[in-house]
Amino acid sequence: MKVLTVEDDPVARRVLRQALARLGHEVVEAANGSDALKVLERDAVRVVVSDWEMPTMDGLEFCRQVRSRRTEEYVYFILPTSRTASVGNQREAADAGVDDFLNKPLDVNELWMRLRVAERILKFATQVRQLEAFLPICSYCKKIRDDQNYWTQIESYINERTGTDFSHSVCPECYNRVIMPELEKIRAEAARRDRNVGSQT
Amino acid sequence: MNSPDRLDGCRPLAAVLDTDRLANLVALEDGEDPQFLTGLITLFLSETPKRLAEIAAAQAAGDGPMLARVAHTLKGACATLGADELQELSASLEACASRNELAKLAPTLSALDGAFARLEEALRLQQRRLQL
Repeated sequence: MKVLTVEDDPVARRVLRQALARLGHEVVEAANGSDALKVLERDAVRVVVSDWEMPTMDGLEFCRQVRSRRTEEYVYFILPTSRTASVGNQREAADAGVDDFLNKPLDVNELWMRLRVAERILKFATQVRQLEAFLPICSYCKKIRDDQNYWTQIESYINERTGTDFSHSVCPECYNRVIMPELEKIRAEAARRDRNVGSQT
Repeated sequence: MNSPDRLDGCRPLAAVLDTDRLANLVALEDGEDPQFLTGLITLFLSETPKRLAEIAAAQAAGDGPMLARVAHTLKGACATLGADELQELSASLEACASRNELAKLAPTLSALDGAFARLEEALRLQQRRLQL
């Protein structure tokens, strides 16, 4: 994943970059919230790890700005805090749009865990976005064109992405429009056969 | 006269350097950056005098919020490397400056240079060991 680190202290920033690189992530950096917003404009970042107290624009204001942007992809926001951060501090951060917290100083195992959670949530967020987006659907048979350009039944399309199973039934409108005429046809056919049998005997 | 016990929690009791904390950072070294920790120590030793100068300038200007912010940054850098003594001093500075109690800062400010000198010596020793 591409991760943006926002930290004014060069020492902490260097450690964060090294830890993220060791965990296999691509890292982009900024020294404050204002610079970080510019990075977000040009880089497809999925996760932000941002310090709270920084000059120019602090972490919470930066997070509020991130949440106010109209973008397709959700950005997962992690805020490192000292172990003495109060519950009130954490609630204020959560209200600003922070998704998760990390203890300072950095623990690489904890960082790995937080990023695993971030990856899982971002995967679901992408799936929801795809479902909410425009889907190419056949006007006649109602098949849907998927990401690989295959036409697939709508049931399989949704099942593959959400795990939803479908129980098939018939709505009253379709019952009257499709089923009733079919039943009438069958009955008429049966009556015609009965008449033919009667005339032959 | 201020006795150490009346320094509003500013008196450092911690070790100069927590070498266990420093050792944890060795785990971040890899083939691409085998000198990560020695490089990090060099970065810290070049950045910290700048923070100390900013703290002195903020004190001279009577700028409590600025002093608190710089002390907070220094505290974070010290925590990263396990520089416990300087971390405690920075935490005390941040706490006093946040309350704008700049008059109480003098004993802590005067302890900064000595603490940094001890830390620099300890870190340079670790650097030499890492390079063996």
